[in-house]
Amino acid sequence: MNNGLYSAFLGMRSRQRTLDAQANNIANASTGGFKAERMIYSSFEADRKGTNSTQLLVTGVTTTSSTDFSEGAIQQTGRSLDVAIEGDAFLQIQTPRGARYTRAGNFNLNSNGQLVTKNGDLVVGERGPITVPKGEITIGSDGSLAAGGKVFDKLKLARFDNPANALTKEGDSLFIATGAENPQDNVNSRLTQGALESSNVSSLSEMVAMINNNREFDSMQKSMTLLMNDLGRKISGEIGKF
Amino acid sequence: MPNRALLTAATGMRVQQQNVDNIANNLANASTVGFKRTRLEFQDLLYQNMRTAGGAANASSSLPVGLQIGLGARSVASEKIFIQGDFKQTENPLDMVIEGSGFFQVRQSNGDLAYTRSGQFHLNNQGQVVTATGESLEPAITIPTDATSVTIAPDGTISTTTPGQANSQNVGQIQLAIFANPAGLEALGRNLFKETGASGQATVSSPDSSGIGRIGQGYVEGSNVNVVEELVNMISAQRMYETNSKVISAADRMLGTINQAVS
Repeated sequence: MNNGLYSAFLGMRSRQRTLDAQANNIANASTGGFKAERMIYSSFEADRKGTNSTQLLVTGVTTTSSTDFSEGAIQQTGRSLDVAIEGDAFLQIQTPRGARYTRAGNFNLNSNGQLVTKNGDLVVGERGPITVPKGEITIGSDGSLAAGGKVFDKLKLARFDNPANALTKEGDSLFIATGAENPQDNVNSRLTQGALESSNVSSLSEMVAMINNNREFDSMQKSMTLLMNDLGRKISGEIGKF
Repeated sequence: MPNRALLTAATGMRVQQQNVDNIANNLANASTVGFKRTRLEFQDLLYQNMRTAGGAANASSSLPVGLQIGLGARSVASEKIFIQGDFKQTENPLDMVIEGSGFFQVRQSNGDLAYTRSGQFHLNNQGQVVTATGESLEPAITIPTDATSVTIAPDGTISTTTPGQANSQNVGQIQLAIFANPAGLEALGRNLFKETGASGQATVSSPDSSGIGRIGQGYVEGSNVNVVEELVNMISAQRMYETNSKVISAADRMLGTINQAVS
């Protein structure tokens, strides 16, 4: 395998994956509580230890993704079951598949009067699923829930020291814990009722990054073409000797 | 694959298109009495896990980050926002507003009950109180043809005065319905809503009792659409649609470049 060609291929593949991630970020620029995905490039060199040093050295780039947990803008909605988190905490959700976390606080009541997400999964309070009594609902900045002025439960908030490591995305605006870190109690996040957190995707910076990414892809394609031409000349040169 | 980016961008464009459709309906109903605006809500689609974070990197350490690529967005809910609209005074005796979260009950021509926040009522040729499209108020109330005035009390009691009678006559009481989850109601058009499994069963009681709302006579509830807010949302939806289409051209260019490389 020609090493330069392989490096160029890996570079092109990583740019394709970056475009995939950018496409997903842009498609979710209106998804409440969405967190953008960033691609991280890391170089690698094939280990030459114990091998013949005349062997070709394989170098290239691999891609990993990391979620950008910076906060999105808070948008006022005035709806009583909308809640936005200011800070690094997550709301805990109970699904049939286990506990999940979300930043999207656009909740509803189901026909049993329980607080649920848009997919019908139960929102978890200090005492498990939350059944909301009749009356005007108010949500305090610490997550305490009151109906008609009487506090009946408190939203369960969890935080992680390093969410990029402790959480991965599941889709449906949910995050799933990887087990790298146990959820901790909320420290200084505050809740705002009647507001929602917007997506943290900045379409402007995504566009700039996308143009940049495409140019990088083009350069790698150029180097691939040059390498292939070079290889072709060498081959025909060798064949010409016969 | 740039193919994946193409499909992802297409989901983004579809979402923004539905967003504009919804904004158009809200704006078209900016003057519809008792109209409740709808908010479209979005979620991210599934993720392709190519490398899982927390997986073993070697015997002693685990991968700090994985490789996850998302596959786009979808519209997940059209949430009716039941915030009260502004009350406008009309002086019309059969115009009513509900100061609270209740709904008027009306009987459709097929016999089914429907619910509405629009309190613009009229009389039909039998003197029955009906909506503009002819659904009768439930329980049915008939105003005597010779009535000179109609008074609706905050608790929904309707009384009329007729010539030659000193005392007003009680002709019935309006009953209001509330739901555990009003956002789960299905909009039927004509300002009407239908009960669904998600909304829960209607709880019917007389107005002015706990939480259900009082009746205000001679007012109508305006649409709760905020035109400025909708216009801002429309501009942002249009721009996002454009950005998604740029992704499509970027992916297309990448595919073109690959084709050139092998030619």
